[in-house]
Amino acid sequence: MAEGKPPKVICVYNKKRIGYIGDRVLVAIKGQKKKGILVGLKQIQNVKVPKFDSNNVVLIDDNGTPLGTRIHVPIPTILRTILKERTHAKGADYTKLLSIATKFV
Amino acid sequence: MNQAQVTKLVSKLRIKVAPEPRRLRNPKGPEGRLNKLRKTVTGLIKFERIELNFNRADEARQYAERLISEAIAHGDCHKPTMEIADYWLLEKELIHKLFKVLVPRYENCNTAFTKMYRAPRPLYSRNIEKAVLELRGNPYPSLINKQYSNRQLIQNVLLDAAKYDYRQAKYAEMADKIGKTENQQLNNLTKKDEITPENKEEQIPLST
Amino acid sequence: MALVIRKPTFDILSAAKWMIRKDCRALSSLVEKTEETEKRPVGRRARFQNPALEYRHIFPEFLPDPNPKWRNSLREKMERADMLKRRSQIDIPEFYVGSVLAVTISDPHAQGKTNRFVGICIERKGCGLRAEFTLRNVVDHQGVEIRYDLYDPTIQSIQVLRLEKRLDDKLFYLRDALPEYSTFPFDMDPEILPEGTPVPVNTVQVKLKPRPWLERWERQELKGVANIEEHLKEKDRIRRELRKTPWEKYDLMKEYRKTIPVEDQTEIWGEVHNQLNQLRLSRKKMFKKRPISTPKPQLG
Repeated sequence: MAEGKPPKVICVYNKKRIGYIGDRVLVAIKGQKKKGILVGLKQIQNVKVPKFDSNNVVLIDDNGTPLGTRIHVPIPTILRTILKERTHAKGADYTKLLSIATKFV
Repeated sequence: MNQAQVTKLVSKLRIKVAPEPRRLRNPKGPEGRLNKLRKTVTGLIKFERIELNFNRADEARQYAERLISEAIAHGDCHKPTMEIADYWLLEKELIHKLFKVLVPRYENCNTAFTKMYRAPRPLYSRNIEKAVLELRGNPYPSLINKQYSNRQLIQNVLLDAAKYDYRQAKYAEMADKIGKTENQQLNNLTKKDEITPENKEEQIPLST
Repeated sequence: MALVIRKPTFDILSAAKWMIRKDCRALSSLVEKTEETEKRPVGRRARFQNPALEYRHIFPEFLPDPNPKWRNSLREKMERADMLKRRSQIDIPEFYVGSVLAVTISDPHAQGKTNRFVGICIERKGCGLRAEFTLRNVVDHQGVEIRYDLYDPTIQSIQVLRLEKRLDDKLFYLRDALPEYSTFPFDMDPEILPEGTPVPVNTVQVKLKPRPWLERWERQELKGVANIEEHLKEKDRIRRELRKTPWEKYDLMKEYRKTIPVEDQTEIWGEVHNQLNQLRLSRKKMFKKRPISTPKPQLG
């Protein structure tokens, strides 16, 4: 369908509606709406948290399992703690994202 | 929270420097402000004593002190200092005056190079504070005439006369006292030799 | 009587002072003659040539904040003492904006509890214990920047892989430059400079990617950028000319308010330079004493 447009974040699942690292977001990509997790941001971060040159999202389904098989981009180590906290036994399991990551920065 | 700049070294100014610069309302903005201050600094170095509004005088004082301290620190042959002097002094003879006259004057100075006094406000005019800005060691007579020790002034003449009178009175009192004590001593000595009725009674022999 | 007595003693004292002064003057004249031949700078110029002032380039965070609203002499003294204590625990080497560093921190989130990052230092900011630096690198075609506190106790080691300076104070234009100028391999070997050489200045002229840029690089006077003019339109050139502020470099008070004067700096370095020298010498000794690792014997 509309493959030419770059992916856009339409909604941030947050009280503040401002996305920080590890937040779940709704992404409009290739004419479809998919959920994703913010993995790297251009926003200025705290010390020791890396700042990336582009905003990176890992597409995810409702259970927290990533839709792809590999993440080429390096991922901040802080995501480990953030995603472990957010994982519930009966809810979404976000740790699968960490297993497909190739490099941690 | 900023990191101090380390490319250039600056000498400490010996005047009170406010943390924020005064913007000095000018239609041309910061450029116009610096132009106006340039004229003031040129005038100060040319005439060595100028009268103007307080705010402009304060800002110009800071720039004049900085200019002179840069000239002293780096001297004649330093190119950046010459460029700064060229910018700030609009008349080019004053650059010569700065380096040849003012620098030797203030080289070993431990105080500020300028002095600022508050001047009386003009009557029936804008309610604005006036100031007099002058370089130290200027050839004019001093604005403040504190002649406490001038013996010819009437208050000192009267005070001296009063002190003199007081001292004379004190000397006379002391002389009187000394005179009295001497007299008493003499009287005591002579009283012992003389046979007075009191003494006579005492001298009655015991053998009766 | 009392008034009469005071005068003769005053006379004696003043006479004594005059005698002493006379003697001292004679002595001083002798000393001056020998000094004149050496031509030592006197007064203000001498203050500017104090060798301890060179420390301001190596340890800029020891100087306090130039804004007088954020100055507190007691806090500054305590901060300097704490900084020296931290430096005695870990070697915080001399580095400048443009040097390549490798930083290992103890990271509770990482698997091995340590995390190593290599990058080029693009900025150094802050004063006292809040001094920070930012490292930039391109990892898997993704540009990454990480900020670190210089005096953070969780930092395990800071290693300088390449010590050099650049033409600019801040290297933010690397974000808009071609990625090859910011890539440094993580397994880069440290380049050791021979002792006593001055810090080399890398005069590389970086090429920028086509616009849009993150900042208007053409309006900042950057010396380390090659091809800004290629990417500019006529409109940009006109606006740049209109926006220029040539009077700013002559604004003496602006410069003064951003710097710490020489007299204050000599005080600070006087307090601190002894300990810093001792630390440097003890580090050198430790480095020399370290035994050269012998190759491990191969088994089997």
